[in-house]
Amino acid sequence: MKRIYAVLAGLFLLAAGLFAAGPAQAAGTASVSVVHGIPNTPVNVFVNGKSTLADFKPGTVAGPLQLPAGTYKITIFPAANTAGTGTPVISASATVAAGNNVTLVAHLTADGKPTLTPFANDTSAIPAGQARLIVRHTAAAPAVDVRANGAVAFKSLTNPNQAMANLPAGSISADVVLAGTSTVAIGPATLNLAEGTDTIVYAIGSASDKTLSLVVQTIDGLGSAPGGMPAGSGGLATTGGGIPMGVWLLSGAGALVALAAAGRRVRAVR
Amino acid sequence: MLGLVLAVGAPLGWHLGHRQPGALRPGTAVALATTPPSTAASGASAGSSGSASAGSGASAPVMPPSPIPIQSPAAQKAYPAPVRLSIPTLRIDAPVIAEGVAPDGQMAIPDDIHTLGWYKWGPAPGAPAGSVVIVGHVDSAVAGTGTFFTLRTIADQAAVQVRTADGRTHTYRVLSRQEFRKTSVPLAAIFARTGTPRLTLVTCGGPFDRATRSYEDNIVVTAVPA
Repeated sequence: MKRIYAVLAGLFLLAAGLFAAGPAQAAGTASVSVVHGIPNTPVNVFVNGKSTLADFKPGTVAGPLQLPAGTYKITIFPAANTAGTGTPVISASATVAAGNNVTLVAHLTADGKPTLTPFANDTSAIPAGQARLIVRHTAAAPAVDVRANGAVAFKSLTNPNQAMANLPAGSISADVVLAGTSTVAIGPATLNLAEGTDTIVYAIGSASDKTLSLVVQTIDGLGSAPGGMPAGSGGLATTGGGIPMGVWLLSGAGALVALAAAGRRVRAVR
Repeated sequence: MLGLVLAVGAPLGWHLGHRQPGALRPGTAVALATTPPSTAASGASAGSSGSASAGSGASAPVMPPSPIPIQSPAAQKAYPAPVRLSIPTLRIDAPVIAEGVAPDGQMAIPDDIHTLGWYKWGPAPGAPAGSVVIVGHVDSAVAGTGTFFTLRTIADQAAVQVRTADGRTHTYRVLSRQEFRKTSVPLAAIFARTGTPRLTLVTCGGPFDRATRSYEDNIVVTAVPA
């Protein structure tokens, strides 16, 4: 019975291990999210001419969606335009490859023109206890520094670029300053960096219109297991490599019992 | 044979049942104080007709469902941390504290050998999936036997009770007891955040290496909700 349990448990752990990596990326599809980073402009998003995101509000994240790999024609119209005809605010095509994790960001260029930028999201494994912080400059603003807990974490980030780092999981206070200065452009904001998770922060809006703000997207399930569990340093419970202490104790007890019995027998004989 | 089928089939079935290719994960975006408040308002309609294109997929393969749900900033449900663990049959009753990762990348273990450590980055009792990991010392060179000194003698079906910070008691039944060389411990399975909800108790055992003052094996006890 014990052996059956051991086998059963082995298979259980094996099976659990096989699926520990989380939902597998379905073959031939890409994971796609959309971020709206243009202030004051609710929009309708059309993909290949079909209304896909109606009344998409600024500062929000849509998705993720598993899409077949391929090239998509994306047109974005003001929310009032529900037909998707006429001149779009943004017209772009985006190609997504199988297995990719992509975020399409509708945002302003450094000089304030609406555009669409695809970012590939890093979904590689994150070491146990850590979080990955990714900051993307998608605002109509000059170069910035990003500070975490008051110290500069990313220097001279420009639109439309990103910077990333692995940090210990937990809360940080983050703000965005004009590069090389301590003039705060956005924040400070408290960011909860969840363990094993990508926290992707988008600086959006326009400096000249005073509409700068942040949007946060997260991608979880990227964590790793710790490297081991060192739970003993005494050697009292040793087995296999020698005779364990317990056996010695048992042996000692046995010897005492034997001695006592022998003693009684000796007395009885007398 | 049934047990075998269950052992492999249960996690497999769960996995397949929960995979739903193309389905949208619950929103995990977190709105900052500086984010416009519109995020919360638009989150409610998410996913209501997310599978619109599923039935008519033949017409155009490169066509997403409509509409794409908005990620809502609703925080993921947090489950209260375990604070005490008892195994009546082994006369174990000990406090549990939250532990993370040590600088060497291994799980941090409480200094006190009579205190158990719960891996705080993994699931807590009551979570719908994954392995709740609680680790205890078997012993220490200076302080003698630890809380989990007798763990390797635990019986199949033994009850394990875990009390969480909200005062609830979660009862588990032991399913298995295994011993692994530390070089081949199935860490990914032990620390899995997916799969059947389970409690995994870990301590040290096996041969003791006097040079490194460490055991060569891990004793791993798997228990499932009673």
